[in-house]
Amino acid sequence: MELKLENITKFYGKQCALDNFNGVFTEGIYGLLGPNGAGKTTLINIIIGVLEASKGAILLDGSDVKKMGTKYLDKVGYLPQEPTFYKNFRVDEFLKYMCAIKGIPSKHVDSRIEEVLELVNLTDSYKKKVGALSGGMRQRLGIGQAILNRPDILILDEPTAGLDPGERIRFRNIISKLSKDRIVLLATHIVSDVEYIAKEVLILKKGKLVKKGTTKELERTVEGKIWNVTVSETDVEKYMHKYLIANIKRLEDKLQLRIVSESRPDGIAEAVAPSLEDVFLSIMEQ
Amino acid sequence: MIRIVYFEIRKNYLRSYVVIALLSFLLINILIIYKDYLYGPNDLYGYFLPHTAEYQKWWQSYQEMYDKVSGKLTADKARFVVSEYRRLDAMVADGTYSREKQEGTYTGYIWGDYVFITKYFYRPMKYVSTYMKYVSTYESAIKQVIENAKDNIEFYSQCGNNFDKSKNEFIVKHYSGRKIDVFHNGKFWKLLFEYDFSDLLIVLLLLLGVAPMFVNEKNTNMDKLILSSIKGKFSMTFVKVFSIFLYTAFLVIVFSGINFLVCKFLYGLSGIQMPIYAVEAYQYTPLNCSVGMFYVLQTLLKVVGLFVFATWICLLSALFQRVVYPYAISTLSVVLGIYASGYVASVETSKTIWALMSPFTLLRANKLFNELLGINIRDTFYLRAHVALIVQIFIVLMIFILIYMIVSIRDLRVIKKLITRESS
Repeated sequence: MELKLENITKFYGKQCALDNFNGVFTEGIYGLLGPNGAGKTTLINIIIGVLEASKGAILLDGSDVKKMGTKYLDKVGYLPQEPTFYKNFRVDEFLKYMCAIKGIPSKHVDSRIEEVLELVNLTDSYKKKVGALSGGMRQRLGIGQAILNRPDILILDEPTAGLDPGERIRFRNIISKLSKDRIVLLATHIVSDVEYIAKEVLILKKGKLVKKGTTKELERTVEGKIWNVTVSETDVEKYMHKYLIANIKRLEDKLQLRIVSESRPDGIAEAVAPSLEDVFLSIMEQ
Repeated sequence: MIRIVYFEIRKNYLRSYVVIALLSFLLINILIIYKDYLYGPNDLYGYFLPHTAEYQKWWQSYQEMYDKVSGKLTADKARFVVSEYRRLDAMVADGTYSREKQEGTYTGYIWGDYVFITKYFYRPMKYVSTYMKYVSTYESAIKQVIENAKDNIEFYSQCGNNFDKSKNEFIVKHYSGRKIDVFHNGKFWKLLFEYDFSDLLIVLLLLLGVAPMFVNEKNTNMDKLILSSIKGKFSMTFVKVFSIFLYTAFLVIVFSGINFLVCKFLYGLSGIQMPIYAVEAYQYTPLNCSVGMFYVLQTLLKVVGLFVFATWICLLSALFQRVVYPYAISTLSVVLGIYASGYVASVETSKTIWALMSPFTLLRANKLFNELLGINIRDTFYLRAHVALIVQIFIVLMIFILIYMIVSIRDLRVIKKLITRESS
């Protein structure tokens, strides 16, 4: 299976929200990284068919998805950003409703719901009101509804926003499980969400795809530019003005700064292995 | 589709606050009818005796007399009413009547009977006797109307006045052959037809149920989730509007049913097969149906009128991000709509157009049909009720198209704002 995005461009009036986006996706997880306003949501809205691109085409296995119509929508599962769903619905009611609008035949509804609840570990919360679920449980319910129609393409928009670390890990595990036989596109601005599980990472900035590749490939682009510098507290201000600081770590009586810099920073600087966050930060600061 | 409609209803109307409001409003509605029953409705003040314990015997006497004269109209019944009135009138005329308690009187005393007859019973009886006169002369009166109409057709044909000609042709066609041969108390039916407090309660329930409809979808981010589903667009447009229709119809039918049952229980409401023109206030109605059928027609018109209003609320809900705007604009629309519908019988064209544009005009079936209300369209006479209905159907179609456009045309500013809000 191959999802191909060709020259996807979106204008709102004269403002370009997405500029000539190109990408080819096959089975696996793709991280779509970018700050707020980078065009992630616009891209997702185009892929799920809620927005129409001003230019470009989306092809699924060579077929234009516009021509596929509802057949294409049947292959897509989507989890929106910060969903609260219907608080007055019970979990089972909500999933039944989603089955109805996804056109899942009545005879398959119960088995599908049972299947997804087990997968997202919500079987015990079957009769709970959606409003009574914790943030993590609600996100898992969101994943559950997204896979009810057994989609080939799973789109997740900021799925871990507001989750505690435990839930975030649980969520990542579920996504990894789901990525075996489908395309998972995970849009986020939290680098750690995609760092270890993404097959490929695409970084968007101001509507443009500025970099893409595997985590390793991207990290290589900033190799030799990441430094650890240990400084006293009084010098921190000076470094912050002069360099791009990726992280600050407190040592016993000093502070260790993680600096992104083309050249070796002042002081005792030690070159360290880059992370995806360093890549992201360096791109955003350019 | 049934599943989606059910969930749409569950989502928007089977909410605790809507159900609690519905039950409370039903109770309030019954209490208002009962209050009118006890103390007399404001609009018919002076006609109805209060139903307090003090007047229990008088109501009993009224009921006994009413039982004697109601039903198929006969000369004996008419004679009985007139002779009772004359007997009591004669007894008190010269002031020599006994002041002592007497057997065989309605209230126990002649003076009491006098008061009963004149102030509390004769006035209803006066209505009865007027009614009797009215029913007995209706056939000849309407024949005269038909004759006049025939003359008018000839006259207006010569003048080339097509509108008045077609109006008179309508009269000849619809008023011919009318006669009343039954007697039932039409005042109770009139009371039922004119009772409109429940309409206000329905409007409030529509606001509660419909105003958050699209706003909730947007606030929960469900709009995109639904639209990215196979039946999403269908669910966001047709199903929503259809669920509004079901909700409106349910509310109108429940409230109309309750109004009918409570009035039937309290007032009797006999003669459901009696022609609508037998109710004095409707003697010139263009309709030839029974009072029961008229009530059904009134209910159906209310369903249409309130459905149009509800789709308007739905459109506002689709336009705005915050529910306060649909509430505020809808409330303002109610005020303007009711005000405009007050011109339903206006002779001024501009005011009539305002009335026809207002969905609340369809809630005034009593005004639309209690006399012959027409409108001149290209020199032809059309019933104002028919035109109002067609205009409202057109409006609801336009509203539906607008809702569809808001949901479907993805580049509308609203969607843009939605996207901007989400990415910020």
